[in-house]
Amino acid sequence: MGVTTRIEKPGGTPAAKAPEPDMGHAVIPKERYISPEFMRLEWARMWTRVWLVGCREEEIPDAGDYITTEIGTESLLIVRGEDGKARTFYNVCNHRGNQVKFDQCGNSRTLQCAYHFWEYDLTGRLINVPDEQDFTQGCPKDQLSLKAIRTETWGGFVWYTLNPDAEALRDYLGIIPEHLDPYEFEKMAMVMNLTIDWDCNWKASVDAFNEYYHTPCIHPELSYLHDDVDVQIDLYDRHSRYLIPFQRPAPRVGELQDVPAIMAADMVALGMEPAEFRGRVDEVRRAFQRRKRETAAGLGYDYSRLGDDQLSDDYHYFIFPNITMNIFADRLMMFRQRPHETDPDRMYFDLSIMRRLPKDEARPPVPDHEHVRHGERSLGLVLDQDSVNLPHIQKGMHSMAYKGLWISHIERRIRHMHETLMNYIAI
Amino acid sequence: MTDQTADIPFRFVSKTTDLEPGKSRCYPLEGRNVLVIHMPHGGFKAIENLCSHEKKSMEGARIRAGKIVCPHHGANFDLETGKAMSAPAVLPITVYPVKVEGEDVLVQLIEPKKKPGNPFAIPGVGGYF
Ligand code: FES
Ligand code: FES
Ligand SMILES: [Fe+2]
Repeated sequence: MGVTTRIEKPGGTPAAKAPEPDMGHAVIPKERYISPEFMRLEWARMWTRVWLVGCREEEIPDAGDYITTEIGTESLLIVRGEDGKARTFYNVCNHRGNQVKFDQCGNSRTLQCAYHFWEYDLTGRLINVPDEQDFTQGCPKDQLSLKAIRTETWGGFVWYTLNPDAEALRDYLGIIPEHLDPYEFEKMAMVMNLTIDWDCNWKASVDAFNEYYHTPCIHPELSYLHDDVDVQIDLYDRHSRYLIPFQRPAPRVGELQDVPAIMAADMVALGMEPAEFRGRVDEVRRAFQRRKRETAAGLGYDYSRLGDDQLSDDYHYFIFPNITMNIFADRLMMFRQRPHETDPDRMYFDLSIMRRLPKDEARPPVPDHEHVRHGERSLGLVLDQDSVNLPHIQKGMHSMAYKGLWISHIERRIRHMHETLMNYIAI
Repeated sequence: MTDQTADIPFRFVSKTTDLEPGKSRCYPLEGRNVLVIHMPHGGFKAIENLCSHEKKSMEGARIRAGKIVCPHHGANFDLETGKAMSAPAVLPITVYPVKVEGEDVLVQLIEPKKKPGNPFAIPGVGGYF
């Protein structure tokens, strides 16, 4: 099969193929997906040691804005301070253990517990205890202030780690800032923020987006939109990616005379005339990229840091342990997969969409967060197709007859993710 | 919606005696391919003969518990509503209203269910995604 040379922009996202590690062929034990014991190990040795996305910076733009976010059994409170800094705290009042905030987001000048009104400032410091003299043992502020969690920002996201000894975020992210800074996620605006309860282990969801072996099977429509054969897979230190050419049908559909409707829709949106490409469907992708460049300034977009391929293709990144990014020139579709508090058979799928803002468009307010159960609403055709098998995978894995994942070369990002995971578990 | 479909006439598509119970056959009718199904326990159903998965014909499909099982990759569709009941399909198929008059099976060729234009489009979000 022909492999396209990826066009990269000097100083932009590197496109070179990374060396292939030898990861062997061992069966990946199913216990990692279904065992409560393994789930506890994951919590103690992985979730509590890695960097995780807390929220978008734009969700807490002003001093006093806060948001609560859950990971495993912990609830965290992310707050914007008077100094403009985002800080994260364990969301628990040190008096009798009430959660300091239990709404999803809000704004307040101080953080006051709703039970006995202990009050903390935006840096987490305990500043007021009603009838303090009645605590004859005293209320030492250092001991009773909110417990802070390391917080840093990158890409317009607030990241936190429960690990006081973790490396700096930049070191943890490795190649990610170099690769993805050209997209300027921090300038994008969130336009959708949805959580869906899925009845599967969080890794089953991560896996579903780390392989495209299933694409011709469950997404037959996509064969007319992207080439899922000429895909470059790169495995890095912890993270991985694949580069998927869009605006070019997959080889399995054969020679097409006319541009398929699904490709044509994107072309028409750019003012292209699909009929002109009759008999030249293979030329659409490059023409689409050129057109995107030509029209950028008029539409208020600056693609100067993006290579040509990035104007059409999906640069699909996985940031260990739980962030999946479908990245296009104008939009980022992001999945954050969180484990259930106690049940390895359940998870939370956070779906958010960020859109590139044209030069003169003011940043819109962030959308309200929605939380639904699987099947309560459509997530669009592709995600509905992706999610339909997940509860059945989880049930199937519990079978006595099933031992574990039998992984192909095309699915090797799954194996790579497990290697990283097991490096954490092993310590 | 109901008002609009009420105007669509019922058309003759087949004889009840054409098909054994449990069998289905495709009839071209006014530019559509209509799959007429004689239900195993009696009664007739008709659908657009196009599986929503890979747009293949379901002629000869098995009928089980009120559902049609696509012979290609096994997707199930409810024959009352057209809803996809199992992977690999998620989109519905079109079910045509049926009337039996004497030995005639009549169908109402309502508009087929629209497929979403952009497979990535998420209801509730403007634009591409
Ligand atoms: S074919 Fe992949 S899980 Fe069965
Ligand atoms: S074509 Fe019917 S299930 Fe695939
Ligand atoms: Fe998929």
